Amino acid sequence: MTGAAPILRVDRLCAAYGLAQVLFEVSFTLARGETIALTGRNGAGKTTTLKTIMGLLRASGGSVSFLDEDVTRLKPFEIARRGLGYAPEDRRIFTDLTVDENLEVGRRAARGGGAGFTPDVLFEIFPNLAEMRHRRASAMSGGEQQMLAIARTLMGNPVALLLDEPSEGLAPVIVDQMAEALLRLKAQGLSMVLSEQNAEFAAAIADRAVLLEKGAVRFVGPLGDLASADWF
Amino acid sequence: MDASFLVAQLLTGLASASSLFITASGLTLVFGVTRIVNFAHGSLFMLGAYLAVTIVPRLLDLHYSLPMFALGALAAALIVGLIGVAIELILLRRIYRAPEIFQLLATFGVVLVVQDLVIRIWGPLDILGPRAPGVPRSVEILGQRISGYDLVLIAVGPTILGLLWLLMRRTRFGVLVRAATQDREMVGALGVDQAKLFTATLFVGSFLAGLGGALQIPFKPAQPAMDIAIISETFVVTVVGGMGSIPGAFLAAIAIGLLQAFGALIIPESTLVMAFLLMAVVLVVRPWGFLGKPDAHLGARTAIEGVKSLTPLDATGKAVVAIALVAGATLPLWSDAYGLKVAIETLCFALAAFALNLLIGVGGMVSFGHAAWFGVGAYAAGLLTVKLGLHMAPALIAAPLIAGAVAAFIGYFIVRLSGIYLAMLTLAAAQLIYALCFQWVAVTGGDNGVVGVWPAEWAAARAVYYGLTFLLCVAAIWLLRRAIHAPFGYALRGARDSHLRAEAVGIDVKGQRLAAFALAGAATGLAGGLYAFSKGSIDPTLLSIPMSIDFLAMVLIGGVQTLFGPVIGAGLLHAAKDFIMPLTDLWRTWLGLTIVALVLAFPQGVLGGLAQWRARFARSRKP
Amino acid sequence: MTVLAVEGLSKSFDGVRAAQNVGFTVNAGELVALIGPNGAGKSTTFNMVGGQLKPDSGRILLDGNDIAGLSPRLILRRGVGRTFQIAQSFLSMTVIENVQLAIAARERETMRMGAPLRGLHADEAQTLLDKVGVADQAETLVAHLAYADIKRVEFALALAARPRMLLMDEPTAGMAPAERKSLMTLVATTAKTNGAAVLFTEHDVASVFAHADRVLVMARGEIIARGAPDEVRADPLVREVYLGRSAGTPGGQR
Repeated sequence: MTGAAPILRVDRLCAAYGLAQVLFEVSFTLARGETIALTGRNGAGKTTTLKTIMGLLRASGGSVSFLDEDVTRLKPFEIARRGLGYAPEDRRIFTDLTVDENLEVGRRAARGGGAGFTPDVLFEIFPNLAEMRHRRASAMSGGEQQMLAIARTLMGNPVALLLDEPSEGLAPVIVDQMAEALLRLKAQGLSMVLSEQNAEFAAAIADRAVLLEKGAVRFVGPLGDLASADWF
Repeated sequence: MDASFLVAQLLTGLASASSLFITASGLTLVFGVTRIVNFAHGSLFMLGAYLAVTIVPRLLDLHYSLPMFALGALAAALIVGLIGVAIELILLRRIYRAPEIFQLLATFGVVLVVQDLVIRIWGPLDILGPRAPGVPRSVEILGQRISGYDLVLIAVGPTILGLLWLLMRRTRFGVLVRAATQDREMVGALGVDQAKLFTATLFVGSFLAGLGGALQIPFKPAQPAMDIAIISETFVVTVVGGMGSIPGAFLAAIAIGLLQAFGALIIPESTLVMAFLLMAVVLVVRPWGFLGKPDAHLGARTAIEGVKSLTPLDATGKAVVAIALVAGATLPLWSDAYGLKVAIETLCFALAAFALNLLIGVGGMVSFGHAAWFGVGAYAAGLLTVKLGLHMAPALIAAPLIAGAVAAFIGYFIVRLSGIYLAMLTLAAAQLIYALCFQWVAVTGGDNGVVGVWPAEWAAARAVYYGLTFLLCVAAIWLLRRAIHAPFGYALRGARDSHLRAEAVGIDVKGQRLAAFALAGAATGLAGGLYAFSKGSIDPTLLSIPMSIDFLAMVLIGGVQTLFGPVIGAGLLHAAKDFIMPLTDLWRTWLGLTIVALVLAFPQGVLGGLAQWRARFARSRKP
Repeated sequence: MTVLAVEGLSKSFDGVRAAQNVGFTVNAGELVALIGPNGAGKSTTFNMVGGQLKPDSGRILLDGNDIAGLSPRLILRRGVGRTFQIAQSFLSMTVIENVQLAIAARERETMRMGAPLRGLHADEAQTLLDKVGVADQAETLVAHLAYADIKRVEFALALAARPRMLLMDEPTAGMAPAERKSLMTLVATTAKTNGAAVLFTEHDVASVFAHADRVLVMARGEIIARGAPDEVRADPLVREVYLGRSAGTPGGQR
């Protein structure tokens, strides 16, 4: 992460729900291969930040650039096609579709013509999914759905991932599996921004932390410097 | 009635079910993905029929064979598919995020335009298509003669269902459509271009509508009114099946086809009523239809921004109201007879529109069948006078009471629903009453209605009748306004703002809404009764869909956020109609285009738009 | 005195047990916190007590009378007021109109179509606004309030029914620490003076340990620990599934 040029640059980003401003000039950068933990309490603006980067919420000020291109005004699908993957907080799995079909929705050809992720490669990273390829997603547990949500995003062969609370509501055993899977992805060179309230989980994966409070950045730096009380 | 006769009836029912399913599957598919209830689907069906009666005979001239017939039907469907694409590109894509009332209104604008277009191109007369070559006129089954083409239709329906199943399960397009039906925003976040997906969906949906229209030409002629007839039935099928569910639509089509086939045996004139009764029953027992799912996104997104904080009239407001009242009261002194006639009608519409906004703007319930209460009031007044010989005064007292009672009865079912389902059920209820008035000829005079609904002698002079109308309408509006400012209106608005909170502070949300329905129904019934006496006659157009649309357009033009907006809207629309209609035979086109333009330009309505401008102006002047 | 007694409450969704054999009591004047990780069954339990969900089995006794399965409105009429995690106020109305409407609803006046609401119960509403500290914003639209003030309005709406029992779902979510403290202190004082019982869920562990008289910890649909805040904080199982190693220690508090 040292010296590498940032692939994602969030610059003084503002956002509002109706009249209520919820993000106040949020800035941070993500280097290639780096993982950032976006932390803060419920309602601090983590989800809003990720949604605004992804174009799901209109930025009322500031900019987002990705791979040296201004993507602030682009539509979500255009941003996704440029290589930014997004797995939302509530997973938003297509529960009427099977595991295979969910993956199919996310499928996009790999950039640069490489082999990229295929269902088989993903089933190796998320072994639980392999056994239920033809199962409807509605019949899966929360942990399995969370893995499917990430696998589905990976099918688009993204350069960087935005993960909103990947460990939320998961049993401790599953959290460990999730951490393991994300570490493998990290080792493959994927950059990630994960919004996270679970301190231990974040510490295991992230290189740096960005602490949000009331919609503004309060702290950027090593995770160890964050007081544990700030996590709740 | 022997068994073989029942079998014949069964086959007839299945054939009409098949035909209905083809059209309905397109509507439900489009709704599932785009969340738009496309009123223009019936117009696409009609275009399919007209194109088929134009293309198929020419192809049969080249070579008289069944494949040529099929080719002609497919070609017609294909063209309709492309028209659907055009509608998506020009209109729908701009209103995907608009509240449902605007979507329904805008697509109804398209209906009006297409109606004029069809008459312009093909003329007003029915056109019967050729028979399908090689299909026997009738086949003998168990001693009963069954139409050969019915058997073809029975086969086509399931075939289409099978093909759609393959399309949905075995192709990437299908997987994307199913995913988008559930969560279209997430599909976009995964890199899928929604715009293209929606356009493609519109193509398939419109193709199916066109095919439905093209396939019925051998037994039903192409005619200008077929769009409204089919869209009502299609709505019923889609809602009963569960909106967005293709297999659900199939089951619903069969249920309705059979119900109509056998229902006609018992009461021959009940076919229209049957379908809507089924819908009402299903929605009460299973509010999401046979195979539909409760949808959290429905209703939440489509909630319309209604009336906001109420303040007593300020000095300007009081002055405007005073001037309007003085002008209204003295109108007979300075207006001619024609002006008075227009003013009477406008007052009736203004009261009806004000009552409609009690439901929409204050209650958050988008009622799509408001003409029902207007019509019930008019019919009550008219029938009581003409058939029972009542005088005007008691008839005018009975009109709001009866309309209010009917609205309360139907409201009992309606208030259990919300959002688009509520809108569809109000539409269905209005169609049910329409069907009753249309088919129950002995009492209602059917299509022709009843004439001779004249005011009592003392009110026969136009100026006097105007005075009566002015007094009653102004009083009714004043009472409604009082109710809106009273705890009643606040509780109704509270239920709109937050259902959860309303229940948690002890407001009986259903009861509150039911009372609002009854009140709005009664006020509108009074307007209908006054209107009937001013016209001297009643007929089913008073409770038809276009009438409901007129009321919605008035509310839309005036803006749902203001209490008096709809009154102004009624004036503007009625004046415009009065002005434009005599000048052109394309008034439907003009009205349709106006509605579309209004939806696109003023999503807050005219007064709402003005208020927003004022607020912006005031803000910019602040230091 | 026991106000609320919950016995053997269970609820499943599609075969998944969201709440299983949940039982506890809340006494008059007492603040009881219900905590646990997401998906532990807190909201399910809460919504069953509030009437938003019907329990599969079990009893919910309010002053000895079973209210399980009643509608939210009837439960309110029996004396249970509630606030919601995501504020549910009447956004199109002013602050005082919100409270006036809640009082009018309590008095069963919502079918009145004559005199305007404007002049109705204004004094009582103003007193309530004074109590929760938003009196100076009485004429402001709720939609224009700061979030912390909306939460106070929510509290006033719950109090308007003069409840015996208050259900508060994450009353301080999204608030700054100082605001949290003052709101929770207000809740505690109100409960003590009115003799009302309070059951609340909360993610903010500091708030829980500072203000709750007793704590219930849920995980996977069951209550796994209960007791005074200090006992619960020391419970190894609670640390394992919820608090984690660092949080809940004296250094982790504010």
